[in-house]
Amino acid sequence: MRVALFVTCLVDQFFPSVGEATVQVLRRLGVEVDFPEEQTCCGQPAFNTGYWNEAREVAGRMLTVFEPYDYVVAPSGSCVAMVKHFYADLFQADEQKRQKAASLGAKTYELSQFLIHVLKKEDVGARFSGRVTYHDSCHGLRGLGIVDEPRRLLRAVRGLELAELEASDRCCGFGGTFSVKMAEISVAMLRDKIETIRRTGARYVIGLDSSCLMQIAGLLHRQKVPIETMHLAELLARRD
Amino acid sequence: MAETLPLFEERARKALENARLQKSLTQMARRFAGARLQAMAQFPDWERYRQLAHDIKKHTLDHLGDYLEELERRVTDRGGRVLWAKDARAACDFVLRIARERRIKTAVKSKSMTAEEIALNEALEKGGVEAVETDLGEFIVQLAGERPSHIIAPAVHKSREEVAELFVRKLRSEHYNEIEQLAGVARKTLRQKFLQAGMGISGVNFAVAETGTIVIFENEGNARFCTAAPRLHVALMGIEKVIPRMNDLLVFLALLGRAATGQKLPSYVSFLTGPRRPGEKDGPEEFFLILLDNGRSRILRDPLRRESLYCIRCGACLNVCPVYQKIGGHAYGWVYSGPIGAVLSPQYQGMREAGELPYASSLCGACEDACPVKIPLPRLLLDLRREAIETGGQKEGKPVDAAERRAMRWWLRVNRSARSYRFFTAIARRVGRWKATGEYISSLSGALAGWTKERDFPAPAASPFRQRWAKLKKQKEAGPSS
Amino acid sequence: MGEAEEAKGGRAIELKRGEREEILEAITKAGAVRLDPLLVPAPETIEPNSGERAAPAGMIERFVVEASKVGASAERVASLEQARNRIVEVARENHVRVVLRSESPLFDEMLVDASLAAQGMEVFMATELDPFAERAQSAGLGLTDADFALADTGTLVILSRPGHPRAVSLLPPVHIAVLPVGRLVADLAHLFAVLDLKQATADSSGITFITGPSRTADIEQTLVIGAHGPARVHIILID
Repeated sequence: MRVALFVTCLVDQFFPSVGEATVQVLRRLGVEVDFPEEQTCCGQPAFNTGYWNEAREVAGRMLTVFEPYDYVVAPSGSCVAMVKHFYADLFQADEQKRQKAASLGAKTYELSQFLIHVLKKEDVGARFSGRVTYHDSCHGLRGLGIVDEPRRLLRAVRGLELAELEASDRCCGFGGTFSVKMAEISVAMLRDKIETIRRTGARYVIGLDSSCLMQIAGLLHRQKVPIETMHLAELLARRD
Repeated sequence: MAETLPLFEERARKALENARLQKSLTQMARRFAGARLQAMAQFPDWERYRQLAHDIKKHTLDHLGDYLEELERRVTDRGGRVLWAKDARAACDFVLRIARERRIKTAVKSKSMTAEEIALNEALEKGGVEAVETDLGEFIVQLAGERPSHIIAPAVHKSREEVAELFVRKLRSEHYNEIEQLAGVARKTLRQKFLQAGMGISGVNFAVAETGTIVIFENEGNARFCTAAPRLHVALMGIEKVIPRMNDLLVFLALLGRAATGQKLPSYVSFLTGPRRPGEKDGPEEFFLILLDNGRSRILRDPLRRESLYCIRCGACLNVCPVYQKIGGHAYGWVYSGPIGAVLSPQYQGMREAGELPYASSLCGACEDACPVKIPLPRLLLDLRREAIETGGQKEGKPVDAAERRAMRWWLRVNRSARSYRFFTAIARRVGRWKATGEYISSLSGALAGWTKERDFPAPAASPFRQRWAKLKKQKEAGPSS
Repeated sequence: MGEAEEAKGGRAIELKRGEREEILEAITKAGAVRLDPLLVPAPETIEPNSGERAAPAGMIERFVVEASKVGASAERVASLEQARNRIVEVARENHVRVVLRSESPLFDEMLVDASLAAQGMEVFMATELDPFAERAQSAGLGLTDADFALADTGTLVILSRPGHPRAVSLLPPVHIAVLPVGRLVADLAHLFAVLDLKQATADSSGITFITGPSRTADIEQTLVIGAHGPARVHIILID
């Protein structure tokens, strides 16, 4: 099977180690991914803000870039949700593109989904000793229905202590451009999230969306709180 | 709207800075969340009922004209009168004319979002009719000269001290510290009004076309009073409130209480069909049902937008919305708040007035999950954002953010080819890493300035993933090393 | 009282139906299809269920439990006499002096008026006075029967009709409802199966479901029992 890595622009530019970790984890399970270098962005920032024409043009490229593959895997719930759910709205008026978008959506997976449902693996050979807690990213949770998958993967990590996060399914406040357009509300929501994270006594917050982790880390770092964010892929790649 | 409200941003900020409001909102969220979860757990058919309700609403709107006509026939058969109001003004005029004909000086009102929507109280006051709110929360905000801030809990923003002071000032009551005593004051005061008033005005939760019956949910008993004591009853409903058959209530009765407050049923559900029958000694002698359009037939035109008319006004979306929990109802600026408010206000009031509201959301989707009629709220919010940008338009009287437009044009330029992506991100990387201390940037200007006020922003990576790919790929070709 | 009096009767108010045609046209333009009602496919809904039901004994127990969950109290008695005695007891507990009651043969049969009078209480029949008038307002207890009761929610179902005004279960601070156990049904779906709602809504202008006492949480989200309606609801099931 030909598997493409959809690295996402955020990971590419800001958190490349997440992309590396994704490749390594898949490699360990016998899957060699390809990285189609023509990829840029899924179009979400413009789409979410109402600039659908601009989004359409950029998203349209995705339909071609990933066409030759059987599977497309991304370390991001929100980007996958964009492809699977919202491309239908974006390309509503173009029958051909709409169909391409539907086939792309059918073969695109967020990493934990790919591991559990396609590769049928829970134990990826990871080892990490530390107390962590898991934050449910909204798009992953409600957009893609991802609840158990990351938890199953985490529980199989040797040496890991997983503390359940109170109100783990409550939004961290990122919401794309919301985080800057409505910055004050975004931060107010974030404070609540940080509060619940602190109460777990965990040293690390794990998530499957770098956008959420960026939001959370932004306040943790500003306030010099000794808790770090880590993407699920990075944790799964560890063999300490 | 006659009043100029401060911009959404200001209203939101005020709410965030109001410690007491924050406390009330948190308390309310916790209380409702607990009650809802319990109610869901005890009702395993929840998902099935939601889908049925959604489909019934869809069907009803698909044949709305038929059902409204049937409703009219049945109500008329039972001795009631049905009036069709195309807008707020027409509806208020009807009520005033009825009041004038019957020389009504006092009207008692039970909770009705629709009445707020048409600003009925103001029209009545102008027309010389005292309009008394009888739902405790509404009564309080009316005395205070404010607007309700939540569909189910209108006075959630007020503390008991504020209420006590309000009663002392406006009702000349004693100063009471206990909530029970305050409720007692309201009960006594309003009891007199119920018995004095010549007209009772109510909203409608559901109107059953098959029998001409209106259904009202409540816990306090004030709607029962409003519809039993005065000689006249005027019921006000949006045209989307009609449902086809009595049996459909089996679906909606199961959903509404649970979604709203976690109760299986509220204290009272009233099924009212026309005026009193011969021999009955209470109940209205005359019954008027006002069917209100006020923009609904326009919303009906769009197949996606019309789903916002499925709303049964339960307030569940407000209760789960993390944004509403921070800014409360007043920040939304009008009658409808929370996620449904962000969807309805721009459609009723227009983008100029309410164009910010669809953006007051992180699109987390909790609202859609909670909605008992499965309204696709996030999709509606996105569609409204699209409209805001495509109509070129104005939001709250000011042109769409020019800086934002430029940023989006840049975004397009950057992402429309891998080459320009690499080119421009290289520049951004240089700038970003220069501004950074370690892996974070603590101060940004321009579009991202809002971020760094209270958060650090990550510095772009020294080498992006795509620059590392070549090496990563080679590792494989050399065989796994660890 | 004056205004309420003035408001009654008089000639029919001249009001055109309003913008009826305009609105219906707008609705049709919006894509709502006008069809012969017989051809409109009915959407799926929950059907009233008149199938197997829990034994009456089980339902009584369930009702008592659910009623208590919603803040009412309920009990089963074995005779009309017992019911009467309980009514008198509850009335005394609540220091009632004036009783307003609806007209049900049950009350005549159990001779409740005499027993209440023997306690020094005044009893008014709903038909004797204007249910919302001065005298009715002074009632400390409202006594009604109930047409049905729903076991799974502890709910009373009362149809308004001559002799059974709405005020009796609304005005006084205490409400006692009496009904034979035969009128107990399992739940809403069961109710809809045994009660012909088309007929019932034709006959009765006000059907009320009462589930516990009135309540409000509008001040500081704190629950207060007893808002505008009764603060105490007691239900007696006669077996």
